[in-house]
Amino acid sequence: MMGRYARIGIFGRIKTRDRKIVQDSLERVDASHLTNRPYGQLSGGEMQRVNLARALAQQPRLLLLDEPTTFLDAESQQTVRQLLLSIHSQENLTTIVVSHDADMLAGLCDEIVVMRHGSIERTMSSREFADA
Amino acid sequence: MLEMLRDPFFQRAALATLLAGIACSTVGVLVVTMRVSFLGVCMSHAAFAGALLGLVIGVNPMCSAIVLSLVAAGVLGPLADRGDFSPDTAIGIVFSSALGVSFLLLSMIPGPKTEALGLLWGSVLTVSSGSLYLLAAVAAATSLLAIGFFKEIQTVIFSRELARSLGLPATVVFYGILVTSGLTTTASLNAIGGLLVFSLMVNPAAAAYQLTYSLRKMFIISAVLGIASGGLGLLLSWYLNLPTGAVIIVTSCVLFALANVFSPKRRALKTNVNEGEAHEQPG
Repeated sequence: MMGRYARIGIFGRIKTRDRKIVQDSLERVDASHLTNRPYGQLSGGEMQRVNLARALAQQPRLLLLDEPTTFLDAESQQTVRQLLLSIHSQENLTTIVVSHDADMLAGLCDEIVVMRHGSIERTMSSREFADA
Repeated sequence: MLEMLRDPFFQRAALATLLAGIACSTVGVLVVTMRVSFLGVCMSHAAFAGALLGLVIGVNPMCSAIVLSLVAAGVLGPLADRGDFSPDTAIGIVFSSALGVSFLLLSMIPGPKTEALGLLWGSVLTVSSGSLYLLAAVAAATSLLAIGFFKEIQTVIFSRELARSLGLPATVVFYGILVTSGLTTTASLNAIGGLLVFSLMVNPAAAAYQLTYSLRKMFIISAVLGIASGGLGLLLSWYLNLPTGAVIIVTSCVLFALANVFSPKRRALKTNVNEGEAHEQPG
């Protein structure tokens, strides 16, 4: 439910609509089965699914993701990448990903901005990035 | 039994332990889940130092205890917020300062130090009306704050960074927890004592932590165990003619031990480990 707290306000109460949005968000990332599991007992991939659901529950117009696949095993990295692609295509939600994982970025992004020491060094398409 | 219940001393003691049980166990859930359990010790020593200061300069010890515990909270917050050391270090610095000031002030009290030592051990059977009102106010305030700001508290406990990113007043909630912890220890000083209040704060909450994953249920179980520790401890001390504060704390320790034995979390962990070992067995 934490994903809805920003929308509810300080003295606001959780309503049926908020519960529905949270349930929908969990379904969108295929994490409904994790609803009653303690967060600390989830695997890295499951945690990232729940984190994504929490971000989606805020009904954002822009999704900002900082290193979404760091510390995940190869299988979980692939799952998160597929999830991000499906969210982006189904919701038409602009997503900005910050990552050091060049392979993941090449298969995920339309446009890639390379930064060095806090400044933009180069902007290119994913095809140009893959060829570079 | 009925005779005991009609005794005005017992009635006041029962009310004091009930209120201290509610207030301490509610704050306990906050400090245990935020993994700053030592905060209770730090605050109780700051309050004790404040009360001693009151005795030395001739003002109401409860007033000076409240002031010094608020000062301790005011120092702890910014210290803990500094990135260069952990909140535990900040708590350690304030705790040792409070301890040093306490011993210094203790040596400055002329004549017998009965009143000062009474604050250290507490005396639930001789608790004053003023202390009862203060305990009632603090117990009501902590319970109302926990109910009213539940989602903010829950998010800050989970992650202060996440709370900030969601636009929740993470720093205000954290400082609120420090201040509430200071006020609770001060209010319990007369009844439970500066040394023993820490156990009543941590033990019921730690026992509740063993029994559930839900923060909401943790608050309720902790309050029930806090009241049970106080009630059972008072009855036992009355029958066995033992110091009440000490018996209350031993009772809370026994309840924690029982919760630990019957903890579903512990059983689940054991099952997971056994399953893991079974998987590792060669074919």
